[in-house]
Amino acid sequence: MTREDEKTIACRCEDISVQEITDAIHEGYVDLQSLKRYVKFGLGPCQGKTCILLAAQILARETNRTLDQIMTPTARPPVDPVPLGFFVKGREADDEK
Amino acid sequence: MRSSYDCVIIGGGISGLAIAYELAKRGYKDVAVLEECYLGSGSTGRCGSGIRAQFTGPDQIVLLREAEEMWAHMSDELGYDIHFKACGYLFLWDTPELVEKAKHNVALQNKYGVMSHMVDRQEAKEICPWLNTDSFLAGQWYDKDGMAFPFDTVTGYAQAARRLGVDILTTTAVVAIEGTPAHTFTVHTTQGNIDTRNVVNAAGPGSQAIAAMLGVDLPYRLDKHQIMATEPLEQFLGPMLVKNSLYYLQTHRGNVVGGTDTGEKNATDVDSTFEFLTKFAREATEIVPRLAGVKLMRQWAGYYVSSPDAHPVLGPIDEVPGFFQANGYSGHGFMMGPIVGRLLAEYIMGGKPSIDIEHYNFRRFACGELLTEKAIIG
Repeated sequence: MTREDEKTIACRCEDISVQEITDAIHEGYVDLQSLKRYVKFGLGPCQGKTCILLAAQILARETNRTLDQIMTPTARPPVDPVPLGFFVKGREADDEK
Repeated sequence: MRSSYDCVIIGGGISGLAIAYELAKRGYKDVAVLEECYLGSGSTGRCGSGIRAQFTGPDQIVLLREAEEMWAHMSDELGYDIHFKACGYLFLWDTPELVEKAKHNVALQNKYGVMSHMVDRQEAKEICPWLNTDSFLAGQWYDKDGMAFPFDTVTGYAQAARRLGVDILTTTAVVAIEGTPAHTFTVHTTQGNIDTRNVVNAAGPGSQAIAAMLGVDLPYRLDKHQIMATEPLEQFLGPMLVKNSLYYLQTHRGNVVGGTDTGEKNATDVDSTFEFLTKFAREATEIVPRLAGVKLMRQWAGYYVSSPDAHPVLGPIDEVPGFFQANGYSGHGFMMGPIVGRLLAEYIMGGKPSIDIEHYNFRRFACGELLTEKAIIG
């Protein structure tokens, strides 16, 4: 049973719905790498930690594949966003704010 | 995929796709583009997305001047928004020697129709209000330089080329190329063999390996260049800022994207490093202190395919008729994409390119006629 509908948000950072993802899959973006870059989910502050697996599941379902047949994108550092000032002065830049 | 095409283009980045599109637009539609991974997965998708004509030699000034004309209309041409924006490039110079050189370069650029000009600190601050004016002596400004969004550009070219009948094949890697005495080729791919009259090598960091399949030794070095993106912010920055090897801009999506050179020549990986972050953060916050509070979101890296004179190799190979090069951009492949597409299409269709680019031919290395370029940044 599924509770999603066309308004269900898959990517909260970029405000992208399940429907936008399935539309793009039906347009022919059937690998997760191209799909991500065409629709532009997974590029926000959470770095895809919320939505990449959701999108991978939708893609698997829509293309009759299993999750392990879908190549997931490279995880890019940092894990969580860090202020640039931190890399200049160390911790005190963070504390000054 | 069919078993034969008139032209096989290796590489699904901006070069390969732009060449395919420009060929098809001219009625030459028997074309396949082969991409080993997904479109834009090589250098195009990793680039800094800047587009500039402020170069230091007449060849690249003219080439990029023409490219900027094309970029300005590319969204309409392709029927897809590639988010080109003439945000301008503001170079910041911090020694009297660099300022003098910049004045000389501005004069040269003006001579070839690129109307850049010098700006003082106050004028620079009007262009970008966030600048720390103590961090430079003078600026160099050209308002027609700009940016475009790499993946949207790839999508725009690919969709337009497909509409015109081009076959674009992803996850299709070239494993060997056989030449025949009749000057045709058999391209062996992971999805089968293709017979063709023309092969275009637009394989970015893979172009040396492709050329070697036909006995051509491209004298390139792969240099790792690292880059980062911040969290998205309201539009605030304005132009692309450049100081020495540091550059950054704010994309239409609001992220500040940019990099700096970490000197990683002859690289064999595109891993991200902490050293890059500290160098970038120090340099970036020196010119715009406010960036210290902006969060870095993501870092990645790609290769500059550096040629001995920092200019690309464009056009046919004398010894292998039908084998064309569009590679070795030394960090400038994205911005050159549209003009390379046009000029290579003109070559492949047997004509003379509408801009003379014979001096970009591979034969220059054997003749010792190297070109010069000093402004090698994003």
